[in-house]
Amino acid sequence: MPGETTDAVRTAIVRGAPGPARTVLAVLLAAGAGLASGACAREPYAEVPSAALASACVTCHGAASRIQDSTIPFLAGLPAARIEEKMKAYAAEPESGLAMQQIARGYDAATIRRIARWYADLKPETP
Amino acid sequence: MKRRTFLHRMGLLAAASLPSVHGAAVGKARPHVVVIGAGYGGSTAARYIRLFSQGAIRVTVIEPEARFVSCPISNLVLEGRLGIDDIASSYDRLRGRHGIEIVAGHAARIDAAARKVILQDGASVTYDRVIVSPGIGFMWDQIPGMGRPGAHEKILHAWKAGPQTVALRRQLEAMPDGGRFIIAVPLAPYRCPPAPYERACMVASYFKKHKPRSKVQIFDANADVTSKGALFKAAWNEFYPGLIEYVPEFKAVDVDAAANKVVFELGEEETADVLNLVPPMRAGRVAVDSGLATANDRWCEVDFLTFESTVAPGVHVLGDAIQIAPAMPKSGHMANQHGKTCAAAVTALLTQRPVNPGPIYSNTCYSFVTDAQAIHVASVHRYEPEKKTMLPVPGSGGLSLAASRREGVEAMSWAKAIWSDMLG
Repeated sequence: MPGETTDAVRTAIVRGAPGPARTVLAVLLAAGAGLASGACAREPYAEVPSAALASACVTCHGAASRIQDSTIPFLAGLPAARIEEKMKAYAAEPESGLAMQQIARGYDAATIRRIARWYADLKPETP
Repeated sequence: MKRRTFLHRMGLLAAASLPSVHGAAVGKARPHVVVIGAGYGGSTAARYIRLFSQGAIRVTVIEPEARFVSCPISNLVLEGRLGIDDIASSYDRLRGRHGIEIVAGHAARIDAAARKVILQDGASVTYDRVIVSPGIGFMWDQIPGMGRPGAHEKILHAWKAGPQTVALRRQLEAMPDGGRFIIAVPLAPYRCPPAPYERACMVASYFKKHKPRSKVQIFDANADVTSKGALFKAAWNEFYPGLIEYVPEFKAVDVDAAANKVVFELGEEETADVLNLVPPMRAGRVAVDSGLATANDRWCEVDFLTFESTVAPGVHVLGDAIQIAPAMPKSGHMANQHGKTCAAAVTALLTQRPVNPGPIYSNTCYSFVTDAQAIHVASVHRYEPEKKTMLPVPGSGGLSLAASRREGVEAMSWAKAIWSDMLG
């Protein structure tokens, strides 16, 4: 299945060390994805502006791999709408001393949407 | 063919003519970024340049220490809940997984005109852009007594986690019950505003369990607790009544190390069984010696879109070494956010793409008040184009309502997550 191959390559890219081979794969993948769907590459860090915005959240929530023993929610692969709704809910709640309420109030809807999409597109790594 | 041979010989020639050359560019290869310092800021910047550039930018890190030891959470080592190895991490993944070269050495100076970093051993590393993340340096000239022989072995700061953290813990262990621990806090700005008050809690927690007749005294150069003040004071009353004493507006100006004595601005003297002097700070030495510390001769002014120095093109500075934006703390979390913003900007600049005109990021800083309970302060900072600085987003940010075990667990989750984000 072409889809499976693409996923396998994508996983290899996400998990593997950056290097010339990885760059070549990323370029191939970007071309492939473009041909297949007309969308841009889904390699998580290639679209730097969105990845950079989301990276502020990665500090605590992690990226593709789960943080062992962490109680902070893991967001990779969650539907974007769910992340957006949760952020809106945090911002609207009466303050009860939660860090996420205080952080959610600092983010505008457009930024939240970009970050939510980045996490939704991020394929969780299996350990 | 001939050209390649020529370049190859040039490379060999250059290598032979210097004591040693790390990562010298041969021909027009991939862009090369050198990162000075592998702490919260530098490790993050190095790792994210590799991620954002998809490996297209070569990264070399110059770091003297063989492993990373975290300042955040290190007060738990003084408490006894954690050992030093619990807060240490390897640099192996930066090398093996991300292809970052790590040079074990001290960066002495940056030659911005020649685009190279000169190491203490005389070797040099050339760069296309350099990221300076040296953390803090101590202004020992402001505490003359620390210049006497043996003073640094006796009077510890433990403000860079590692051997000093372990040594201060040993001093606490050796102290008899009924002893007196003094922490002297410098005027802000200094690394990690809440840390002195967290440290007082952690030492008091250890005393409460093992040396209950002992006392903790905080002599603070500032007019009041500089961060999470109400929460810390509530914790002192609740958990350590009569054990912690807080004395504001006492600025330490000298020590008599042999007598464990600290001298304050108006001539008062106090003698401790264990004296923890946190000295005034400035940007790490390589930044000062390279002429980057333009704010009061202490901190480095930067463009907050790129973290490029305002005085040295191609030289970026981040983390505790910078002149902070309004309400921006000098914290490990903040250095991590600087590292990513800088990495994205450096990647854009070296690959001819636009720099993000509107960075936004947050800070969450946990402090333990008992061995299990913690409090936090959170803030969101956004670039303000008219003022050309990062400002807190109105209406955002805040503090815990009270200390809790839930936040104690969250604080440990935070530590694991951020260590993975910078080194994983």
